[in-house]
Amino acid sequence: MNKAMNKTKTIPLFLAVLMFFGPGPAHGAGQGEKAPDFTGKTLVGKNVKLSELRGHIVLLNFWGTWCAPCKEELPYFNRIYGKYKGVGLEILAVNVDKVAAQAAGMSGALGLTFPVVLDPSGDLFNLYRIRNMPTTFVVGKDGLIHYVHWGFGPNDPPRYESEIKGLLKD
Amino acid sequence: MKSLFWLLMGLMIALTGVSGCASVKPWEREYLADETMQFDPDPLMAQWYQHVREIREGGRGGFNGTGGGCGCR
Amino acid sequence: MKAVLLIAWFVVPIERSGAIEPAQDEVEAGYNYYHGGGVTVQGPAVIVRKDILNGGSLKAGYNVDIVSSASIDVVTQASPYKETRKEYSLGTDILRGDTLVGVDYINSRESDYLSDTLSVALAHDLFDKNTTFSLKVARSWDQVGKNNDPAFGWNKFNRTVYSTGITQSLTPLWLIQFNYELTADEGLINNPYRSAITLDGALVPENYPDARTGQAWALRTSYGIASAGSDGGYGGIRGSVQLDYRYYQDTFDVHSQTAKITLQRYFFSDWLGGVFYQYYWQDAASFYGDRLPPGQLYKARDKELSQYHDQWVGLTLKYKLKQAQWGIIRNPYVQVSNSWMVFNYDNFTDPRTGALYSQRVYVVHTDLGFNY
Repeated sequence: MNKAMNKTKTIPLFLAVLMFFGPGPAHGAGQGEKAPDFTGKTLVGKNVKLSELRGHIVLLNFWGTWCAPCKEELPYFNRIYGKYKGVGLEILAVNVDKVAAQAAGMSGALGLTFPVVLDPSGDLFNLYRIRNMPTTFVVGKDGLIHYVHWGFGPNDPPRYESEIKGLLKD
Repeated sequence: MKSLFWLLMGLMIALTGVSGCASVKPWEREYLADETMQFDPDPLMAQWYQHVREIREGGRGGFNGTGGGCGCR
Repeated sequence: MKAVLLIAWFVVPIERSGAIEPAQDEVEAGYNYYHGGGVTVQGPAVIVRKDILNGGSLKAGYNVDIVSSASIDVVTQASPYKETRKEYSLGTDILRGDTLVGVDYINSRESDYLSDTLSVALAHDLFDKNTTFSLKVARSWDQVGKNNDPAFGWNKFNRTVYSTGITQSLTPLWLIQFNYELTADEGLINNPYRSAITLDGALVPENYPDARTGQAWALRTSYGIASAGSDGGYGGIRGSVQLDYRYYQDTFDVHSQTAKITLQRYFFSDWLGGVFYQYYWQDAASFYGDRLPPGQLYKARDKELSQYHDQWVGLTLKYKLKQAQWGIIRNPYVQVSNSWMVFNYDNFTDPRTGALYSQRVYVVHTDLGFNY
């Protein structure tokens, strides 16, 4: 077989099959839905219940220490938490690491000032139908999911700023 | 290459079935993100060993693919 | 000397890690060493990667091979020589949704061999990133020359490589990968310095067909080992077992098989140890002969086209500070890998003694790197 692969047939077919199978939009718990309530235990052993934060804007973040974009996102959350905590912003960072010490280590290293909820079995991730790491839900004072962020990139900080400011006006 | 085409089709159909019942959730990828579970995580080392293989072996190719890992974006 | 073959495809960024994820900014610098069979090759290598724009990254690499050769062919047919090969590479990859596109360019030069390679790669995640498809095409335009022989001129050699693969995660601790690769060569394929030997001991020029197509099918699997968790499930990852198998065949009638096992284990949280063993065996090209009968059109006496087997054992030790931050430097590491190869040729002899040839080779790689 001295001839090269028949490009004219294989590549378009390959691409056609790719389009058939995807890419679908990443979707988890959706915009406009009521944020499912839960009770979780934080790194420091405190219990936290989402519905008790009604009346606050909650950034509900799902992360793991093994996820590179998550590590970019957390220091940014630290900064906006400092900025908006006094006017009603809460942040809960749900961590899925199998070993709690890893989450504790990273939280300490990054100097996180908001609660880290431990979820090694992934029950909360299942509850929120997480499809991407990281995912952050912006929950309004009404307990509804107003915005969803899949991943973390340079476009996210300005989006978070405008979303939080917009929700603070409600 | 006809046989390549049908091979890929067959594999994709098989994988559709497999993926239905054996799927790893996005938050369960902690182990897959670890370097011990990846194929050739160190590019410089992989490059050198591949170079040695190619100058000393008559066979070529086959050990380069993508996938596994964290899947974080 | 045609010392470089295509190393294009594993320099392409997408295949390095991850069910497609944006690559992190990093620097890696290392040193390579190969010594055995009368040949020593060594030199530095460096790769730098930087995130640019949203979801795109740029990568640049440089490496040098300083070759000092008194190999069995060189000492019996020519004289020992020294050579330096320099290689530059530049690549970019762009991530959009579940698809990654990578383009790479590699330039390699030495006094008698010039090479330009361009590759385009595509990877796509499916089924919640459980499945990754990859497709890559690489094309090399090479010029083959001969030192101290201006009449030889520059001869063309082109190579096209098509690769495709599927990676599937079966469980959180089990990954499999299937790859297929087709390599199509045309032009001057044989080494211009090597001669074949006739039955009566005369040296004659080698003569290869001007085209060669090879196919490789490989299956790889990676199985992680996790410690028991406090809640009855799994705890942290302890290490892994990796198995690789490849079957190769081509139009020169070379058939080969490769089987490799790699074991890795973490020690004391920051240390990673690894050991691998690889067994390779191949049968000879149809026109290969240690001594060639008269009248044979195609002639080869390259021991890499003979029937032989080799074993390769390696030990790697890596020290990595996963959560360290020193100013701009994050996750620094350093590693050393020592390995030993033993080759036993079934139908290639040392012309000085007439005995079947064998060689032992020592291969080392060391590097350090960090994210920033």
